[in-house]
Amino acid sequence: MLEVRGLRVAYGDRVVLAGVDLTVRPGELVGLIGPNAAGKSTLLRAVAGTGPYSGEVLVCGQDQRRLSRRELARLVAVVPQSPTLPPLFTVAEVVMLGRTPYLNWLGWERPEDWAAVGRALGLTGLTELAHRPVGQLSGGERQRVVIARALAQEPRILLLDEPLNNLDIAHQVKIIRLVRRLAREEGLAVVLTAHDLSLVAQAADRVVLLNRGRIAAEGTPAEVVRRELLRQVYGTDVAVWPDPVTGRPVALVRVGACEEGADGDGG
Amino acid sequence: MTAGVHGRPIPTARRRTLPAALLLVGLVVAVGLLAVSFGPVRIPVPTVWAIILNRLISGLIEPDWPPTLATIVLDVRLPRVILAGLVGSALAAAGATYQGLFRNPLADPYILGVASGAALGASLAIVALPPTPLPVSPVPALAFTGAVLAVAAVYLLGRVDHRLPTTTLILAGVAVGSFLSALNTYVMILGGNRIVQVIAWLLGGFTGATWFQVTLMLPYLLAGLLVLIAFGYRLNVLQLEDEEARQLGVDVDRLRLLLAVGGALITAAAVAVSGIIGFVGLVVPHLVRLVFGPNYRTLLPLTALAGAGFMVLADLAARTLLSPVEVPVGVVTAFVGGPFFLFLLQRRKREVF
Repeated sequence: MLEVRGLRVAYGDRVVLAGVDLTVRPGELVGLIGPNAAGKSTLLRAVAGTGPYSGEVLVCGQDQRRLSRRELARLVAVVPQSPTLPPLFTVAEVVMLGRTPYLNWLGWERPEDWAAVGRALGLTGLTELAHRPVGQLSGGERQRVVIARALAQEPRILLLDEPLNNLDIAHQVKIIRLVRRLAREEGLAVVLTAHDLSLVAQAADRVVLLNRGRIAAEGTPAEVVRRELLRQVYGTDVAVWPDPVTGRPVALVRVGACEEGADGDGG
Repeated sequence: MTAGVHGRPIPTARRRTLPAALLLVGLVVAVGLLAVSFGPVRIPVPTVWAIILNRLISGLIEPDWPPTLATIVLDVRLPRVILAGLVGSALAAAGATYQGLFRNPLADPYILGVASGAALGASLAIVALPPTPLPVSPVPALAFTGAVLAVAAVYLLGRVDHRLPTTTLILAGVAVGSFLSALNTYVMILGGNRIVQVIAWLLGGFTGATWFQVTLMLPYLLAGLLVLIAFGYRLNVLQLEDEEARQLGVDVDRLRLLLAVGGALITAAAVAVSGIIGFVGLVVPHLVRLVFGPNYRTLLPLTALAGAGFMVLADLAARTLLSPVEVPVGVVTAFVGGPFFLFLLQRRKREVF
């Protein structure tokens, strides 16, 4: 579904991605973790066709470079890290923007476009808010609007860049559940980046740990979310236990005691 | 959780648009008839109708009016009203386009240097060329050329690596505009007592409008409006960041170029026949946005209609309020439009853009 081979991105001398291979199958949810500047967003941008790269990106078996912008937007949808939502547009109008790659040059909306918008609103639980200006929505609702816009594109691949930022735990869980359901039931290939290691470990089928433009580890959550590995990559002490219910790893960041000189205290 | 999953159709958002458009068309026609009716000689609206109908289908109605009335209606007032309407719709549609293009509520049709380019062209025509015995004035042609050259310069200067970022485009517009204004001032000073003519042109208006001017501007206006209204839908996508718009399959730079050129063409055509009339292109889009919402799909056609009606009314006021003296129409548009706009803003008490 999504195949990335030898992906390299460099801005002048600064190498952001130094040869990344990644395969995401339909129905699979891949969690992409790693420190700031590890190259997570750059990877998503390259796949979405809005950033330069060398190497190969195959989207549904086709060379991404040979697809037009329009064709690519029908296969790959992005939920950006800080999306813009024009405040006076209604929820339905914003979600309809997701139909842009399907509309003809006059932009006439056909019944199937409205059906796709209705479906996206239903999946994200926004049907009741369809005619509210997005400027009046809460943070969690706005995040769902952006996901609905991506779903209206009817993509095969969904890329979410930090979709959990600025959300309370209840909304984080809602978004995670929604994304997992999109993978399971709609067969989307999903890549999600996040900083909360425990949440990623619970949600993802597979976790990819990116560090300095390379894949430092890849595998099941239990294989990647490990204390030694995380300490190496993040340079920070993390305690990891298995969740007694799911068996998936739970990561707790050790800030250390407040007293001076207590830095080395591993407990 | 499963409620509405299977594509429950959501109510169409195109609520009031078609009735609103029809209502606006009716209003514009009514305002136009009224504007033809009023003047130094008052001609009743039914007579105006009869004269126009008789002209369209000759011999339809037995004329019971003096031929001078027909001349006033057909050769003096009608071209003036139609020209005002065309210019109004051009400026308003261009203003709405640029506000959307630059995501900036302060953008107006002159933001890309059209006005200063046209002004320089007109000044050169008035000052440098000898008063021609020709029946056709060279002023519109040179004004149009100046406007198009100015926009071309702004485009070339605003481009960065084959991209067209909005900020550099706006800055290039400001820079080229100031440069050309300086040149224009210099030309005006050289012009001696012809400076009066230049200033009269700069103030803008429809005095002495002819059918020739109408036919001069009509093709540009129709072509430009068609482009703007057809591609207006994509202005909605341009309200997002460039990267998001690209991820939705839009070629941002090409679209921006197309819309900028379309807006510049109709503005240049309007300025060439009427001079520089401010305020319409800035305020009318906001008025329409206040009433009908920000969706450019409906905003552009409705703005073009509203701009026509607004300008016809403004010109009617300009020539009748202090008759026989004519007030420059730009003074009327600012004098009436400003307070009216503020009144609406106050009443709404919410975000407009």
